[in-house]
Parts: sequence; C-alpha cells; structure tokens
Amino acid sequence: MIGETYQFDKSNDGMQYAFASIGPQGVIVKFVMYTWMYDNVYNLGFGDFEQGQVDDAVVSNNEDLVKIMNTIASTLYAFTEHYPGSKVFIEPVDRKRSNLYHHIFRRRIEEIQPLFIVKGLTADGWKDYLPSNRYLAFELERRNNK
Amino acid sequence: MKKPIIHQYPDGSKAELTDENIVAFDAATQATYHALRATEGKAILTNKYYQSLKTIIKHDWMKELQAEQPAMPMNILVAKVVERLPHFIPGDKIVELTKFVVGEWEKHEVEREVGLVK
Repeated sequence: MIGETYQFDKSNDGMQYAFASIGPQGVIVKFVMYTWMYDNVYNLGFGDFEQGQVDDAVVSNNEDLVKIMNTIASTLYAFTEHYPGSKVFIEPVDRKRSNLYHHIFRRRIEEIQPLFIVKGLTADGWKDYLPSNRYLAFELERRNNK
Repeated sequence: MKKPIIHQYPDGSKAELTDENIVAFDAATQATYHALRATEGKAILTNKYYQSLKTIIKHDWMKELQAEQPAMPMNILVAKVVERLPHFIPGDKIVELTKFVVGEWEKHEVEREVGLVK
C-alpha cells in the first residue's frame, strides 16, 4: 500500500511524470523523470517545474512531503511497468534527503522488498540492502510478475 | 496528431489527455499536462544527473575495471568508461566526466602505490 497520492500525468514514452502539489505555497508542478544512464539502469530525478526547467535542488515546503513521496513511488510502479527489467538508480541530492530516503527505506522495506529487489551502493560497490547500513545511493528492480 | 498523455488518478484509473480535451480538466491538471508537453521527447539533464553518473563511475564502473586489472593504463580505463556513457551526453559534459575519471584514476594510483588498495 503506497498511501495517499496525487493524481499524475505520464508522458507517452513513460519516462516523465508530472503532478501538482497543493498546499500553503499554492499549486506547484512537480516533475519526475527517469533518464537512461547505462545498460538497463535509469536515474530517478525529481524537482519543481518552472519555466520549462526542472529545479531538483529546491525545497518548496508545501507541507505535503509524505503525499509527494508516495506519488513518486507510484510513478516508480508506472515506470517499471512500462519498462520491465529496468533498474532505477536513486541518489539523494544532499544529506537531508539522504536521511529522508534512508528513513523511508527502513520504515517501508517490508512493503518494498516483495515487489522490488533493493540494493545499496557503498564505497565498495553494490550490496544487498540492509536497513542498518548507510548507502550512497539505492537501486530498485521490479521483481518478475509483481 | 500528438499521442495522448495518460492521466492516472489515485485509485489507479486512467484517462487520456489531448490538446482537444485538456480544457475540460482542472487548472492543476492543465498545468501538469502542459509541463509534459513542453518536455516531450527531450531528456532533462540536470546537474544532479551528472552527479549520479559520477557516483556510478567512481563506485561501480571503476571498481569493476580496477578489480579486472588493478594496473589498467589510464587511457584504456578512460576509453572503457567513456564508451559506456549515454549517447546524448553533450561534448562539454563528456570532457568534464573524462577529467573526473582521470582525477579518480590518479587518486587510485597513489593509493595503490602506497599499498592502500591492490
């Protein structure tokens, strides 16, 4: 169960997603993009969409963080449905987001792991995810038929 | 005619959005629709994307190559890394990533010479 999400739009190639965050700061268009990196690995990028650009360092404080993260998780399902066999690379942009992502994985790993194979990147390469460890980045691969 | 954009509701149901029917949707949906149309078919390459490529290069690709051949000559290592980069990376970023690889290779060589790594 992902929890409460925003409705979102999906580009017809399945690589880009947009949704509207609604809160005290008004309506903010959020953009999620999956960009090819190498082999079958795609980078998950996320930010505010303004004047044709995506700002992935902005903090918009629209008091809907959980709903936003849930919506990003929904796009992950949509993307991996569109591109079976793909792996999604997720790297936090700063320390604060690293703490947030680690917190989300730790809290929700029992829901995530039946659906996705989760790995963490360390200074020594990729390792199977363990909640007690810190990682530089994460990689998710949808399990077959899930 | 442009292909429709898929609108997904929180319950998983879907609708097709087109230039013809988008005016019937609320302002927020119109905004997200136009954002996607504005970037259609374009890869959005942010600084964070390049940072992620550097992370992968340093902690995955170079580790693999150095394990395969610890004393791999720099020109070979650079060539092997650059050939794996996405075809749409612009020239200035290929130069930046190449400099990054050379810098990391030099650090690795120093560490190897003093016995910190194999």
